[in-house]
Amino acid sequence: MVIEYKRSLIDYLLNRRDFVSGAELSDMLGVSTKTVARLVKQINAQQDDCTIIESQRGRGYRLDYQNYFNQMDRGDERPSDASQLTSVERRDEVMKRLLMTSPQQYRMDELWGRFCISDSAISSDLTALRRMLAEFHLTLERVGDCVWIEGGETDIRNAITDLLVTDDVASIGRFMQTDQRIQRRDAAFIQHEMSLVEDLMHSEIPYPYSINLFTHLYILIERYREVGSLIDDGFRPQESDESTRHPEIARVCEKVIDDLNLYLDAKLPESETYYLHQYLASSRIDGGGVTPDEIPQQVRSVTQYLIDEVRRDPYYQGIDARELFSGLAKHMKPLLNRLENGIKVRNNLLEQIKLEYPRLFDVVRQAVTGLSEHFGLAPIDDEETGFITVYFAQAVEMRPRPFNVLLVCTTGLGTAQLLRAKIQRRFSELHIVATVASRDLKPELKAHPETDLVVSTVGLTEHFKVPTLIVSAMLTIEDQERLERKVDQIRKGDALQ
Amino acid sequence: MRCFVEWEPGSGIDIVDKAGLLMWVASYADRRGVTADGRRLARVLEDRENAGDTRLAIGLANPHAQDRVVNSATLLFVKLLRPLADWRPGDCIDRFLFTLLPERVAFNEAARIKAFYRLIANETAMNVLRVGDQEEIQSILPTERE
Repeated sequence: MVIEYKRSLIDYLLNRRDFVSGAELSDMLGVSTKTVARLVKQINAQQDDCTIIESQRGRGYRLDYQNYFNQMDRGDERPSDASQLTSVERRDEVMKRLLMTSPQQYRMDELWGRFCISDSAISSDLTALRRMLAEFHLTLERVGDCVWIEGGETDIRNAITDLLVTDDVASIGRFMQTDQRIQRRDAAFIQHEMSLVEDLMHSEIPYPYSINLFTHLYILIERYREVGSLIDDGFRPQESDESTRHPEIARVCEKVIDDLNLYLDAKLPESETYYLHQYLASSRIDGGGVTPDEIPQQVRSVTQYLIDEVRRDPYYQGIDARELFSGLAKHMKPLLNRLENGIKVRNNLLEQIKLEYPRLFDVVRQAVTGLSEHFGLAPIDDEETGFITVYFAQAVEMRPRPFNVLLVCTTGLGTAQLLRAKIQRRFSELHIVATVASRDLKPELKAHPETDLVVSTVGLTEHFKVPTLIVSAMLTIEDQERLERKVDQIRKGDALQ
Repeated sequence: MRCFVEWEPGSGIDIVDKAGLLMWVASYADRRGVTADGRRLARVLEDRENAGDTRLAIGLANPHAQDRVVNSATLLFVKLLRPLADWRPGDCIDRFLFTLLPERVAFNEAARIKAFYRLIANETAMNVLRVGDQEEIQSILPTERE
């Protein structure tokens, strides 16, 4: 468990470039801030001669990227005996080599020889690889003793991102580039370019888009290194609307591609500027903030549809739609762009989101399925659904806790019903849990432990732990004021506890 | 469920106070077979009044009882000729919606009673009970009238 906590802590800090408060980390891990401090101390103590997590009073914790890389390099001991790898690890290795160097052809022996496995095992590997590649519109070709991957550059990179990349930027570097010197240099170059993008856009690239962009640039560089040139998809971007719509992003992209050309001493295809543009436009970079009026109509409709669908579920009816709308719309705008351009984002919090909000996740998943059908969009995967769920989860948590009232009259059938109708009409924030006969109050309170207040039209002889209020069935103005005061008093008392 | 409307009853008896009305109701319920023990019913009604105000509106009270002596669920609306000054201090009440229920109320009857009480939460329906004439009162009571 401690190892998992340490791993999660490092993963979280890897995605953040500035200091993160102890409180935020404790929330994320579900442990106390003291435990966070203890974990950081243990992590640092395990390093040879350096600190990988820096701490500063009042600011929190930050990962020392350089030290972390150094430690990862030292600890990167892969199994020396390839025959010890599992079939999944073996296919992963073969896939990585084929994808990174596609369309380079390999003799079967070059790929599988070192694993010392039977022909039937190789045959199973080929079948498995073909199946995986087919999902990315790629084919595994075999002529005689030679195999290679055929497909477009975009599809190859999508496959690399999806099949091989994790959101740990350090391991992205490790798996793609075995020469650690080059690996570190490439990573540093990309970090520099990302900072440049942020400077030019006057905005931080938030997680997970930072990982997404890093991965995109890393794969671009490594593919170029491996292949020497990039497969020409035949794509020729027109004077696109996108550049006109986002001239600022277009300028940034041209600058980054120029830098890449210099760095690689190459002339990257024009389409790379376009792809980079898609990535940036699909990231949530506010660039000084978007006012509600600037949200396009399609984004508004899509966002409203989602909120309406989720609020169909009685449990989520109380969500404050207006509050949720602006935040979610800002997320949906780049999401629609990602869907349009087939850009996928990784969500390393997905399992945690599913675990913490299982019901909400399912409701959101149903809503996004309906959304795709309704608006003719590409299917929205679980990773994206997870991000959307977080917005709803926040809205759910912001929702005021319902105030539960149990209504009592002599029979439970008469004035309690009258009162119910009047209270529902005049006090929408009160939730009536039941209407009961005075003689049944004790067992009913046991059955409804959520009750905050008992409102009765008949005097109650017994004493109950739950506060009570006697009103007339007329629910006079005076009764209403007393009820309001009582609710307020209980809420305040509740808040103090 | 049984429903009765009695408009200015008491020919020969002048109902002038709370005790007089409860005695009249006890005797009426006995006669109609609503209860086998009118005296006890009157006591139960009085106990309930002592436990808290049963008024539904100015001039309209809702005395009620749920007890083993009640044979069947009954709504009895009584409009008096002269309002009672001692029913509730500070209010003169001339209209009474008696609700008499047995220990166990059949599911469908309970549903009808609930629906009726929710209906009179509506101001228009409540106004009928407060100031409506005999016919209007009969029109909003939930079931067969006698």
